Amino acid sequence: MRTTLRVAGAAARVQALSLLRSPATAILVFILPVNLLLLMSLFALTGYNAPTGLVLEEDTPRAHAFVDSLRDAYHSFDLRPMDRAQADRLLRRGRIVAAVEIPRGFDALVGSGRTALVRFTVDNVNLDMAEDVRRAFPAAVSIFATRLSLPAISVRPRLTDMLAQDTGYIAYLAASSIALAAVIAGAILGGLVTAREWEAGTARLMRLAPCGLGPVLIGRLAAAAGWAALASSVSALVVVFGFRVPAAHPIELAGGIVFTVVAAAALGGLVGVLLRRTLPITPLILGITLPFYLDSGALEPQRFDGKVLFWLSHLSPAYYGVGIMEHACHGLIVTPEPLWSLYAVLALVAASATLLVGKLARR
Amino acid sequence: MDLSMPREAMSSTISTPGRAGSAGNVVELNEVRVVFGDLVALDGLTLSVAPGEIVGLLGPNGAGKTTTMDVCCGLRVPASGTARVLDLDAVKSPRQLRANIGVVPQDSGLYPELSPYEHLHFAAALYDLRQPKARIEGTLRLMGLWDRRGQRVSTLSKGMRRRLALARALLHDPALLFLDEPTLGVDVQGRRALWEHILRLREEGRSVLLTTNYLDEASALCDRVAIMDRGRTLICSSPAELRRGAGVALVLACASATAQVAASLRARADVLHVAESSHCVRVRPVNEAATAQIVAAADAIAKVTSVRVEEPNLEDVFLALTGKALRE
Ligand SMILES: Nc1ncnc2c1ncn2[C@@H]1O[C@H](COP(=O)(O)OP(=O)(O)OP(=O)(O)O)[C@@H](O)[C@H]1O
Ligand SMILES: [Mg+2]
Repeated sequence: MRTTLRVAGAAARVQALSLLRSPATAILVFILPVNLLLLMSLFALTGYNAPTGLVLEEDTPRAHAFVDSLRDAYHSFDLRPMDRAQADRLLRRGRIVAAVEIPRGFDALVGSGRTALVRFTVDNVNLDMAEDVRRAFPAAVSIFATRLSLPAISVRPRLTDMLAQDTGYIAYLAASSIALAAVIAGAILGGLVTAREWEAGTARLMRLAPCGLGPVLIGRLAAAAGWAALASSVSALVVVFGFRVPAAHPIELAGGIVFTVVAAAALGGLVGVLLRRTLPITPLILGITLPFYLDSGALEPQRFDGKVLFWLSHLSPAYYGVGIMEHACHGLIVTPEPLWSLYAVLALVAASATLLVGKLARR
Repeated sequence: MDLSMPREAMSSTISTPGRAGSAGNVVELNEVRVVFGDLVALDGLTLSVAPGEIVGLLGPNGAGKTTTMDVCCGLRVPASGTARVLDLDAVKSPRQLRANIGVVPQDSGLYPELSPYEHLHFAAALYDLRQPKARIEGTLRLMGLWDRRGQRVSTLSKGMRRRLALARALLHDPALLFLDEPTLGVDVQGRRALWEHILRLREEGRSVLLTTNYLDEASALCDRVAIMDRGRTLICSSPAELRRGAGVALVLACASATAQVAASLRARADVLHVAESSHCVRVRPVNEAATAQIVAAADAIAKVTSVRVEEPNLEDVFLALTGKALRE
């Protein structure tokens, strides 16, 4: 056992040297996850506060009260004051999603209890956004009516939020992307370091050593996991400082990275041992990981999704990593399974994949 | 092409009976058969290496040399037959066996981004050598790699890489070495240097099984050469004995018309093989008695200016055994 550990340690050291000396691979796992994070958030940005042109034809208290109501409607309008001609132009060019026009005489009409016509134009080329805007507009009107105690509208909504604070789409996604970084970096590096042993023609030589190839591969995987943990930490820093995502439980954040990376590296290592070629590793891992990641509650808690998809996502370490990360960053419990079980599953996956690598190395 | 010298006859004249099967051999392969699907890679191969002996496996590509090595090291399990190495069953490949053999694989199996020193340091861990520094230094110095110890392998010449592979195989002081084409792709000077290292292994009392495509290499290094083709040893004997068995070759220098000379000699029953170059025809007679008649026949076609009797090389032996030229 001690010899095995010593060999694994030597292999890990050699692997760390190799990683330091082949910067392409080493840097790839740093850049790839951050890039994916940026990619995902680009999708997200468009669905957030809808850029809306605000055409204010009079400068009166009720007009301003209406604008405030628009602002306060949930996650909806990014209001940009402009004149009508500019609003028309920007709408046509697709730079804004909607335009609100508060007409001259608005204050007087509302004050005298008459109907004021507020023109509201929606560019419904992006259905998602158009729907957001359409839903938010009546909400804004009802907020306005409530605040001004207007008699004609008697809506008195009483919403109770389950969670103390809202978690924005970006903030939620960014937290899950740390798990993605850990899975991708771990699995790709794990796959590369084991497959390389065959590609370099050294696997057979290692099998001739008294302790065999198993401890060598396991040592290499340990180095790969360490490197991947570093890379994922960079992603985590980008998320916490760049995207201003709170790290509610920093120790969980670190633990989540370690558990996810180790499980992913062991699984990647298994893929490498089976394929024995480095070339297909990166595309294959990306191809397997990304769909599983998206299905595993990366964009929203996935408990409302279809049953099959939900169970399928349990196959990927991303599912467990995302669950841990959402709690670590936002204090959210997004999986029906308890938090501790997510760690347990990752540990179990890591152990069995490592055992399997050791077993297959003997063939 | 007629194969005038039957294999059986040749084997009985020049093989060394009694060696195979005798006890105390470091390698003992008996009727080993290895198949890959439909392909029979080793077809009942029998081979032995005595302590302190260098035995060469010589054969064309695909003859089964590397597969033979693999069986000896326990990397390949034979479908039938037995493989005993250092008095241990190679198939079960116990740690004990692995700790006492050193292997230079056909493709050196080096990591391009690591240095020679790092390779040996890693190998020392693999073989559980304690305080390996002195031993690593000694081995690197022996192989003339000490000055290059910190350089990445990707920047070393092919010959240096082969020396490094040999250094790694020697680090744990094995009694038995398997060298798969140790000088593959190495230039003439590099080969000579490697040969010296290999010959020294024998002086140190180690046994070596090596494979080669090079005929001169087998002659220079080996106590015995096993000529392999299609997964079998055709013959196993000392290089000198093999040469004796293959008879001599005549090199006739002709003033002109070498092509006609060659063509007419090829038609003769007492000629085994004819090769021609610009002004020479190289002929191998079935026996020495035929020599005079062959020279006379050639002289009748074109003036023969000189006749030289040449020792046969291993290519001639191979040709005599298999009826085909050895592909190098
Ligand atoms: N892993 C394998 N799978 C299938 N066939 C194999 C495998 N290894 C070897 N062979 C086949 O077995 C035969 C013997 O191969 P081997 O590598 O032992 O030849 P060799 O004498 O070492 O040739 P070379 O001089 O080219 O190294 C060849 O026909 C080869 O194609
Ligand atoms: Mg070979």
